[in-house]
Amino acid sequence: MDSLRRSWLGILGIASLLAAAACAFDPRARTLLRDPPAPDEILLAAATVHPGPLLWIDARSATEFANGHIPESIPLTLDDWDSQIVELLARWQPGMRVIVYCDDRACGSSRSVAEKLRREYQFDDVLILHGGWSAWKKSQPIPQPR
Amino acid sequence: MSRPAATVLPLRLAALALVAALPAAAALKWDSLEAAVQVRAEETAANTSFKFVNAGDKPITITGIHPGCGCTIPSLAKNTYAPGERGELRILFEPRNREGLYRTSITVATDDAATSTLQFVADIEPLVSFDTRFVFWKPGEARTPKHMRLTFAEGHPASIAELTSSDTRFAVSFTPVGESGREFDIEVVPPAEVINYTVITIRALIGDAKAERVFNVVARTLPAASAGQQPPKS
Repeated sequence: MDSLRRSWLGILGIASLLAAAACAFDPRARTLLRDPPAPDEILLAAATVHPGPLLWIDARSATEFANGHIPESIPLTLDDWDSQIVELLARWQPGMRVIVYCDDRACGSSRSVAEKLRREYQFDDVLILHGGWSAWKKSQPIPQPR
Repeated sequence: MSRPAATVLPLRLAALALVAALPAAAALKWDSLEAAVQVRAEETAANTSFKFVNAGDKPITITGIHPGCGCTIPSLAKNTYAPGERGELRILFEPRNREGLYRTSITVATDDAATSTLQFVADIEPLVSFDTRFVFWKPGEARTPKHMRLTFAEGHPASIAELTSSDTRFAVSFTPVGESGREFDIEVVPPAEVINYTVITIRALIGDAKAERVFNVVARTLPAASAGQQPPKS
């Protein structure tokens, strides 16, 4: 019985060591440990495999949007809200996921936009892209200006 | 006891290299790197400033000012300042759709290759709140009237001067709620068959000064569900 317990403890120990090594050597794991997504954020990898329809919202400035953005995304900033919100509402359908992004993880404008959509427009599936435009750009070596 | 030249020279070179590697001290000295403003509900803008002095021994030119948002509009009386001269970076803040505590930064670059990052904080009292700013009718749903409730901040009684609908087939009207003069019910009656949306513009007059403010809400009759956007491939 003791030898069985020792075997299981050994396996558990080896598995823990392997997991720790994976975290130590995999840069993605290290990044996630240092900078985990907030509860209302979604990782790009999860966003791109979402099975349902979604709307990408770009909360950056008009200049940044003009220089490049996620395909099909809609610009929406607090500065130009009244003129830009109409396009979003004209394209939105019940059950659609809305993902808001701005520059990077330190950018607060995507959170402000997401909060306003939840509070004033009763959208219940609004998430923020963790890492924002920087994360998307890293995944696309040659972003196409539009 | 003196050190041999062979030891002293490398030490001096290392010290020189260390000094060269350190960033040059910025000549522009700010009285404070932070500024805060309070914006009352009825206000549409607020002013503040960051004061500075050229603490260097040469004239300095401000070569770039980069606000973190379009809501902070910077201005300077001039760009170049003599040694010892004081100046002021004025900031006009327009909250637009912001409310509550809002933070942003402003980066200032000078021709001595230094940059300063200034922190700006605004505490914005919300003027109005809506229970929702969007009503819609799903396909097949009865086209009965829907309502939105608009409430002005306490101490800010208002009246609605005009309510217009961009698609006049959507009938819109408003009714004051209670005696406070701060709450209004907006009713929208959609057309029987049409699939479209309308932007409802509310022109309100605030307080004794009757300051005009405009708010938009949207009503939409939805088409049968479409595929929507697909996630971009990364």
